[in-house]
Amino acid sequence: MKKTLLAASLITALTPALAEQVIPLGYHLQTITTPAEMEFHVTGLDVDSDNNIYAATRFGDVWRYTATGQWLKFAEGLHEPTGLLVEDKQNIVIAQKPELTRLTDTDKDGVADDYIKLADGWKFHDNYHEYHFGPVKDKQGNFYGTLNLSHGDPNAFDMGTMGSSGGYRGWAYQVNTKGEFVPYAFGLRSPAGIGISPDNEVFFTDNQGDWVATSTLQLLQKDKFYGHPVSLIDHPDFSKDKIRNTSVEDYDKWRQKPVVHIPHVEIANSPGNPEWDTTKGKFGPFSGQIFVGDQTQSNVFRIILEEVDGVRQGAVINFIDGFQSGNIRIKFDHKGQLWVGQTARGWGAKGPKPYGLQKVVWDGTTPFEVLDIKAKPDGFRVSFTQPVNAESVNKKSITAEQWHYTYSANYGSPKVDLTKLEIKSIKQVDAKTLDLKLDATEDHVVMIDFAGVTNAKQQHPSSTKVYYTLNKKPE
Amino acid sequence: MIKQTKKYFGFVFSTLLITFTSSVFAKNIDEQVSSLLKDQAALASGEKNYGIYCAACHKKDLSGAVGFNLKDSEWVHGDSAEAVFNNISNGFAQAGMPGFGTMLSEEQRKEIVAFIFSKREGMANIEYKIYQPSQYPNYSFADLAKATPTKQGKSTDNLIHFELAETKEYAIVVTADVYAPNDKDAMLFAKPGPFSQFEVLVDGEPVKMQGGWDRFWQLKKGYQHLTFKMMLPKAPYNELTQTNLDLRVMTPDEAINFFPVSKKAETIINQLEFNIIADKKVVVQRKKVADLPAYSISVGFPSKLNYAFNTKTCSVVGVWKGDFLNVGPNIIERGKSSSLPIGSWVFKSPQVIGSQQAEDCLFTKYHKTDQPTFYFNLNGVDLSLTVKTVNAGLIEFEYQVINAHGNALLALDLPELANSKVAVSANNQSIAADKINLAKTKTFTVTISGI
Ligand code: HEC
Repeated sequence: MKKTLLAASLITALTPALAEQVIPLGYHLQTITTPAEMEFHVTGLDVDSDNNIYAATRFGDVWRYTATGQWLKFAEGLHEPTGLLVEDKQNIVIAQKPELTRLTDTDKDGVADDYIKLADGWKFHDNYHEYHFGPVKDKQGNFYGTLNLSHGDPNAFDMGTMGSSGGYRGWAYQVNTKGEFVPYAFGLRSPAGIGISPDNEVFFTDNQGDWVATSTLQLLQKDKFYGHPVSLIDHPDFSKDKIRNTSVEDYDKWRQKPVVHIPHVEIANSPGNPEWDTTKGKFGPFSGQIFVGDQTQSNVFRIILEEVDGVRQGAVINFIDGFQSGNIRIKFDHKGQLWVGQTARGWGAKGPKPYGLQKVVWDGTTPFEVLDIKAKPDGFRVSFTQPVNAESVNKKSITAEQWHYTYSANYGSPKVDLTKLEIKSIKQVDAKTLDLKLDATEDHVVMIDFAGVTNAKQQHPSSTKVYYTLNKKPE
Repeated sequence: MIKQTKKYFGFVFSTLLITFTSSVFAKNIDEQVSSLLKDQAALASGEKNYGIYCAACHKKDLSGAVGFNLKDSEWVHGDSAEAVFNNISNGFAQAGMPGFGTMLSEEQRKEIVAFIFSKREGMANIEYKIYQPSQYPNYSFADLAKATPTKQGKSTDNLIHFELAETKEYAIVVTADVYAPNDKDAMLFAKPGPFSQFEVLVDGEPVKMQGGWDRFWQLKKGYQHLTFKMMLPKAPYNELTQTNLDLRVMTPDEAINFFPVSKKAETIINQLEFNIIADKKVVVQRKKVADLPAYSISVGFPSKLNYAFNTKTCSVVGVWKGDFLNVGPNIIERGKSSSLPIGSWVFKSPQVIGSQQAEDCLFTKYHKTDQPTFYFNLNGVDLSLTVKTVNAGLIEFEYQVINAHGNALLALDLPELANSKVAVSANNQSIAADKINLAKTKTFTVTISGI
């Protein structure tokens, strides 16, 4: 008896130290049992009008998970799909490596029988890294997808790491309402996540590596260059020589700056799709914000966006970590639960499982968290989900630093010119809102740490560090 | 319908057959076979007789069936020319292989041995020397010239056993015969982790090391002599340093594993098996497949005939006989390598059924029912293709003309097969493949029989 007691108290004593999981109060992870003996690496996720979940697996199947918890196979034999979109119960569009495909259940027996080519206007050379991500569909009915560069292809043109054997590798594409394949934008590297905002704007994430200093969120715009020169072999104005001879400075001037930098390791290494919280409060206080999963860090983080004088920018903040595997796809269902599709095959993840499916549910408890951040001419305005304890707010409880990254062919960039920023003043605007004065510099990431800030109950935010990409200071 | 079968490496032990032959005679045979290996007429004759007398049990491509695989590096009864010659002459009565000593002349048997050796892939005559760090104070390969190995010997299974070093910090020098593929580009490929040093010589000439993380060295085609030296860095190691090396021979794009060179590689390659077998109904799989072009869709039938349709050329780019596909290499880890068709090819690309003019092909969709149907437009004609197999010897490709759009003629390329019959027919009458009259013909069938 004594022994048991001792063991039990040891466990409670050890638990907080062992499991420093970041998870806001009121949020819970649930693990879905996936079909037995299947390689269930979930790389595509969507939901139909009856709240059935559809999952595409890297193995090549599409499964439906009913509201009653049953798995039914909708399609099979696809080539490593990494994206799925439900049009309606009979029509599912998937992005598989060689093709954008509509799976249609013509006889309404719950299983697709037509595998229809929607587009294959790019080239696939059977290289393992030639992923095809997407699709999203805008309000006009156009589809968008992104095409990964290749890796280790002996025939590819490369400048060190990622390569292209041609055919719009490293491009984003559109399939317009006439069904035409339109090469849309270029300079992408490993754009593993694509999503569309409630305002009908397409965004994508790109993974850190050569020419990508740290992972990014970018706004997809036609004919824009996003920084990776290898993709230019399909650009009419470029030759291989011209690509090699163009200076980094010239590429730097030409490229689109990331809307948001996602700091490597601290937040993410391999981010997936941006998913907007359109649950109108069913998922808690973060309505309208973007959620993204990360394959390596096995976490989900938030992105808060704003527009300053026509320039997009915003902040990232960790949300929940400690998922069971690598989070590559996330999707809100109609109940406001966040589904998380996972894989760790070939690229390790912090979570120990090779693959799986989990969901995040909110129980209605409002946690004390950083809610929002906006740039101001002389600093930032930050709001919290609950009133802050005024006594906890001072120049010691809040610290800040800034740095920038070097754009180059190197594989990722360290933090450059990392400097502490003095918090010049803190003004409490209302119970939940603070104005911070500090001298931040444009083209830098500003990290503000609210480590000492609490609510009335002395609770700290589960994530205290906010990383704001300051492309433009408001005037 | 999709069955996962894992293969475990099955060593076949059998009693050693002792043959009494003088070493003078042995040397003779080894030398004679070596010279026949350079004699095209002898090889052709060996191939012909192999096809007649041996292929039934060992398969046309030597990959083995009732009889053992004759092109890999695993030789149960001996791998010298002399041993193989004697095994052919004496046979293995108990195991069901007749002796050919009286049926075939001595010259014919030698030609067959030469033919088998010309197809051989794998390692042979591996000798190794292992050194400990005290023997190479400068951590340079030059040190090894004067050093005494702490261990040396010959491999008994034609694989390098790096685990024999036992210590983690060691240097090893291996010499071996390598039979690389005759018809494909091949690389010696290692996954060492950081800081290990290498020196590789082929036929006495140093070979440039390529790669950054993984290392590879270009091999010659066919037979060559290899010297492979590895020196591990000083401990403590980076956690990624591999002391038990994964060493194998692959295509430069890593798509195909030709054969393992080390025991570790063999273990890994054997784990790469994930078989999809069409045992109850037709199975469709879109995967990267060895020897098939990108954009191929593979279809497997319970009758054990399989084909692949290519969506960029609208043609049938391969037919093979056997269980369907081992997709393991394409779905394990990053899936860099190709799925492997199980069984043997009836034909494969560049032999096709269809048009080779890719620019004139527009794929539309496939309808997946018991018999999948492909829909496409070839040279302006809307067509569908449904494939039927009745048994493992017969496959029928049934084309329907949906809309000819005013085109009068359609030309199809067909494979030329030595052992099976290819015919085109419409309304039960044979027609010419290169001028199919679309005004009259709404349905035509390509039949391959006698497979
Ligand atoms: C009726 C089937 C059959 C035929 C025909 C046949 N073999 Fe075999 N062969 C076998 C079997 C079974 C074995 C395995 C013997 C054992 O179990 O040890 C074998 C073994 C061998 C081996 C030894 C392989 C090793 O791993 O050491 C060689 C060499 C060989 N066969 C060559 C030939 C050649 C050449 C021919 C044609 C001239 C031929 N065989 C014809 C069935 C056959």
